[in-house]
Amino acid sequence: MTIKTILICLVLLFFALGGAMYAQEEIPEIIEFTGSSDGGGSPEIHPSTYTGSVTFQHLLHFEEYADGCGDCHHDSDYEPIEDYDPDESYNCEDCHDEEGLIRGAIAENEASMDDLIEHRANVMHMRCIGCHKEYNAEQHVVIAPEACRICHTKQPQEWVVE
Amino acid sequence: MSKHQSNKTNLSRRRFLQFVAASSAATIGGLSKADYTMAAINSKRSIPLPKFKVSQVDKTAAEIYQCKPDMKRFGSEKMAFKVVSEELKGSSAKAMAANMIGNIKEGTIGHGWPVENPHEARIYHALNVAMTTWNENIGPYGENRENQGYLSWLPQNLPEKLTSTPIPIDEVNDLTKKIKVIASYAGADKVGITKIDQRWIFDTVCLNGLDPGPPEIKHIVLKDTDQPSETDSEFILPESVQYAIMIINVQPRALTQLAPSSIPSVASTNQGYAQGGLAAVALAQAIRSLGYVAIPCMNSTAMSVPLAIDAGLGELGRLGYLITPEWGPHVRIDKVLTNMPLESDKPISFGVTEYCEECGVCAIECPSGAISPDKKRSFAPPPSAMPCGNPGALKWYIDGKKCSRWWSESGAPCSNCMNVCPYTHATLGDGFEGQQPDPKTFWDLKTHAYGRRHIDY
Repeated sequence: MTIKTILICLVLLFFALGGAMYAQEEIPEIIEFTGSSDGGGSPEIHPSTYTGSVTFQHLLHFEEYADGCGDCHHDSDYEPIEDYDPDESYNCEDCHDEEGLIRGAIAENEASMDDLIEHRANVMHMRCIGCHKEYNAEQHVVIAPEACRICHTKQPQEWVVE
Repeated sequence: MSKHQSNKTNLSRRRFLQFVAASSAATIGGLSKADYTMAAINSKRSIPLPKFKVSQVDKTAAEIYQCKPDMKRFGSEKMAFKVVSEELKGSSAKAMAANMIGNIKEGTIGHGWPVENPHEARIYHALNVAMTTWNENIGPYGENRENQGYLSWLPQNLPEKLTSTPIPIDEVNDLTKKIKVIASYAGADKVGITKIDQRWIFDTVCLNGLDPGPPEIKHIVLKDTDQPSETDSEFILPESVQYAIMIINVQPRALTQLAPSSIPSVASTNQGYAQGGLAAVALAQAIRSLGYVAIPCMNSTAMSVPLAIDAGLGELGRLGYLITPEWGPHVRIDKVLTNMPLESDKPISFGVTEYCEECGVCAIECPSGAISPDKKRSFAPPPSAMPCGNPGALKWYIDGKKCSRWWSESGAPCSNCMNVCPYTHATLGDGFEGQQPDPKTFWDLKTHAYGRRHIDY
């Protein structure tokens, strides 16, 4: 192997690594979902201690678990967006524009599917937990987390029995 | 995740736990497990301990909870363990066991409950083995174990001359008193008696209740017959079986203070089932020896909570458990169905519904969001709970699937709701006697038989 060949290989390797690093920089590593600061409570519904922020390992999901951006990011026809661009493509809140989570038996029984998918928190839960459930069914064991307490921050306790 | 993707990525348990650890580092923050248990002490909002006076009411459970006329008997194939097994395409119990074994190998006794090393975790597992041995031998938890082994519907090794000769009954009151004493000697912590409201008898038994396959069911039917029996398609109860003797047994308190979802907390559950199962089987044999039909049940054959309410043992709590005035929800319920004429107890009231409306701590603290957070009750479960819920009663519906899937996820049944319930605090107090509950301190606690703190509990 000549020195010239080695240099060409090094240059190609540089561009390959550089390209990969550039691509990774484009994809946020972590996304913080703020969750519900008041524990999701209302005059009719008790709060939860597990509705705090979620530190979503975005890059890890992209690299390890997803087929591509389209596994989560979809267009108005629910078709996967292959090369998601936050400046060009839909953002979640463009369509799922209602804040808050429809929860509790009374609210859930009164809500339609349209109501649910308008509420961003409901859609996010469906997407995360739905995907994890699908994976767990393939493994026949619950490995991918489903329960509130695994992903959500536990809010400070607001009660004491005395 | 698509099938294609799942082939691409073989996600190991350890790999996922690393991910979970990373993603929840901020989530859990600096809180240790013990902090969870004791966090109430550092809280802001005060919930007064329930103070109550018990009174009898002239209503049945169906009337108290305003059951609709079209409410159907519940089919065992809709139990969460079965439905979740179908969803997981594998046994939910095996899925839980796999994670429990994984936890032990990693030196924890539950989800986020580290101990010194895997050997220490194995010792906790050994404690659970001791607690569950009689539960397993009798017929674990009883669900779908009708007429099997110790839970057989017919007399076992008793002289036929006794079992076929009903004792004459002059005084029902006197007999009832003596049956309750026998139940107590057989191991029941408290006994109540009710006439059976047939809507609480399960519609079906699911013969493969922990398997993912299509449900294999037999119906439970009542017929004009002398003895209970079983055919290829039915479990047959004699129509004369009109009484339920409801048995409650207290669980060891300190163990559930290591909830949620730890080997100690499931050991507490198993101890309750073991003791109650033994009591039910022994009491059934005693009644058979007096010449009457007696069917010992754990969770099998009929719904325990509404029958226990009818038998005057407590009220229904938000968390879906029976709440008793003596031990809160910290009990397990077993029962004997019989045709022996007995005097029924009256249902009781001590303000549980009103307290639960304001409290909601079990729902607030449930790790899987399985307990209704609504302040008011409803007549229907949330859609996500179906088909495990049975609409038609006014109550707080539990999402059994969320609860059961969390058990599988964490590697052990949870008991957190039972642990945090103010009625537990008000009645049983602190099993750790003011010390910080943790797996190490546990072994230094003074204990009596069955993990009781005092000889009388």
